[in-house]
Amino acid sequence: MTVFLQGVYEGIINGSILALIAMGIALVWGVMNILSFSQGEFLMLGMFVSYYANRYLGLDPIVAMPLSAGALFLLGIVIYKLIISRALRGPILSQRLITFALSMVLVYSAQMFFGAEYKQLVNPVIFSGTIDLGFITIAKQKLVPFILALLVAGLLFLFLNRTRMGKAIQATSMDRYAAGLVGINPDRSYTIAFAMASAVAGAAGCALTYYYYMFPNVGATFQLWGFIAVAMGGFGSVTGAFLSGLVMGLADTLTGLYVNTAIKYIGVCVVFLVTVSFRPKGIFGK
Amino acid sequence: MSMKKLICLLLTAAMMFSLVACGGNTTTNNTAGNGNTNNSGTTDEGGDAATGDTIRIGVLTPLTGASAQLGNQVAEIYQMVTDIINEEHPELTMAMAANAGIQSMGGAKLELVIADHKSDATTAVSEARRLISEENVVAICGEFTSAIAKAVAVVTEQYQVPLVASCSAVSLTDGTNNFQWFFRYAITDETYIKDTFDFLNYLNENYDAGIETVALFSEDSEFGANIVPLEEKYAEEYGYEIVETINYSSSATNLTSEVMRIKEADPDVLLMSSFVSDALLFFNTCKEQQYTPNFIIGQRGGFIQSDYLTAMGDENNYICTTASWGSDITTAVTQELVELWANSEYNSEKVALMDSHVKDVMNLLFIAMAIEQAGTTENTALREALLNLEYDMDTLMIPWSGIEFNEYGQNTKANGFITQYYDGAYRTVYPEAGASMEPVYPMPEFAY
Repeated sequence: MTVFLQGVYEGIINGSILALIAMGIALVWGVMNILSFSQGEFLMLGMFVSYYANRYLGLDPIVAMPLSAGALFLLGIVIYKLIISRALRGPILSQRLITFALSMVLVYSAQMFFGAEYKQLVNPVIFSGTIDLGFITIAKQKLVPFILALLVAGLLFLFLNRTRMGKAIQATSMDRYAAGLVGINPDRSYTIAFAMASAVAGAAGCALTYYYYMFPNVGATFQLWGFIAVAMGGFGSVTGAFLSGLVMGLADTLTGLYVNTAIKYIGVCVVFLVTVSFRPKGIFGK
Repeated sequence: MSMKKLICLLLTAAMMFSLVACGGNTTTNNTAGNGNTNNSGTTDEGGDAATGDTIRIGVLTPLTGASAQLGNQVAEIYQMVTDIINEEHPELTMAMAANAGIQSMGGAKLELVIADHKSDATTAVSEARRLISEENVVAICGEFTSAIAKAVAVVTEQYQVPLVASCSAVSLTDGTNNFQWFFRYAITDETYIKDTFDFLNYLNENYDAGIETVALFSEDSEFGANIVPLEEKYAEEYGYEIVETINYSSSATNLTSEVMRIKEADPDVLLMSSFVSDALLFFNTCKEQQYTPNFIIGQRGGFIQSDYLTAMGDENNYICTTASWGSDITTAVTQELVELWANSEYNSEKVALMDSHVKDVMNLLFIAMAIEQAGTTENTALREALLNLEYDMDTLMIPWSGIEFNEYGQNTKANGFITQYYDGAYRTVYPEAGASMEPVYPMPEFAY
């Protein structure tokens, strides 16, 4: 029973990082109808911000988190204004591929500036060590992505549903032209949505550095699972992305624990396939 | 120019630079004479392999991608050794150092044509084909995983060009593929795994270790997949019980269930076949789970790479790995290379000499020796020379029992070591004759 409880806990924790990636992708897709292939690379940049803040300033990732989220928010604005907004005027294929090209630029630029080797945090962090509750062991550093995922999901929900800007973004996602007719600036909505998705990845990157190594291609490792979580949760549904991420984490850990580690990703994919078989548009898809 | 245009320009430049980085990356290095690398960044038009006074050797190594750090280090040490071969160094013990260039070919200089395989088999195949058909290299060496070497060997067989590699998969030289142009002087996984179980017996017999059970923890690509059957074979032969076998993806987002299963099984010894990233994630996950394996023996891979050692620091203390070379080998030629590399201008990261560097650089040395002994770069003559190499073991950096090839291109006289990390370096602990410290068993607990 102890092993099962530990497995459930670890599964939820592992899923929270996938949830964070997926929520960013879902936000961009839901609002702009663009599949953001660069979300994983924003995560990678967040990890490097955390790494260098720790290495040179001795900052804990949780302290570097606002810095990283802020930096990625600004980068998101710049990228949207210079690249994405122009691609949106082009053919559908360009819109689809532009973030893929962007991800390549970010990966190889990171390799050039940060080096290709694997890195881990070098200075001590606040959240380290474990809490032994008897029936489960809680690693303090892994609580950070979980709490962050809960916070981000909650804040995004509140922002999208309770603020004027959030409602404007939702209106733009429903019908860009109709939103423009009632005085909403669609371009502004898109900018904010893209920048927020980047910021979420930046914060997630910081949380991930507590226990995961970093290197320029690290984003690709998580991004694929982020896409699956988005598809499972329903394209464009932030809540769906959050819950799917957690379910995938559980499927991953429990399959590895009770079936075979070699096929744990098959377990995740089976859950996905079963879900889309019954709900082709995902759990919350419309 | 407005700020907006300036940013556009910079982003475009960054994109172009990245695309260049994505594309074929060839560097021609003729380091003869001046001791400085001439990085032309382009390649000459094709021509004879040994036109005028240069002989071209292809170097395939990962300059970008996941293993870029090791790949670049290998390219750097190759350049250092090429310099040594091309110039007169009578003060050095190393083979081919005394005279300038290839004496049997009128002092011809070696010229490296370095290509980036990006740790990707498809890229490696196309780059190997280009090196042979366009760059006219006479032989290929470099830094390979077994999967990449297998892919490249198909090309070198087609063109009948020698490929000399030190990756360890048994299947490369067991006759399965019947490669005629593949040569491996270094040892295979079979020897490494046998050494591992011999070492367990040694610990039981000499240190009352009481080892009865082992667990296998292996990534699921060519590297790990080739090792598991050997570990199973020798565990049975030596009478050790396998209490858990974990196969996992080296690009896993987590290794939680894997570590939980190992913790449940609690083996006396954990045998790990891991790369850098997954090894780091494994140890982080172990600490989260408050679990320290009783004893760990890695199968090289990530355990001997500098970024792994840098990231682990002192936490790597008492972890063992199999090895084909150790910096504590006391022969003059070994210590000479350690010092040369430590002070070399090519050693851009100032990393210490490691097993992977030495194994790879030996291959370049063997190619140079074979050309010297063949007196030509003609492929069949070169093949014969590689198979029947005349050598003085005192001039080679790895003190093997000898060099003697079987029919499949495998040196049957090579031997390995077991090393244990302590105080910043791996130290030989087995076999006893070459040991520089006594093995510490079991490992102390990690700091949780």
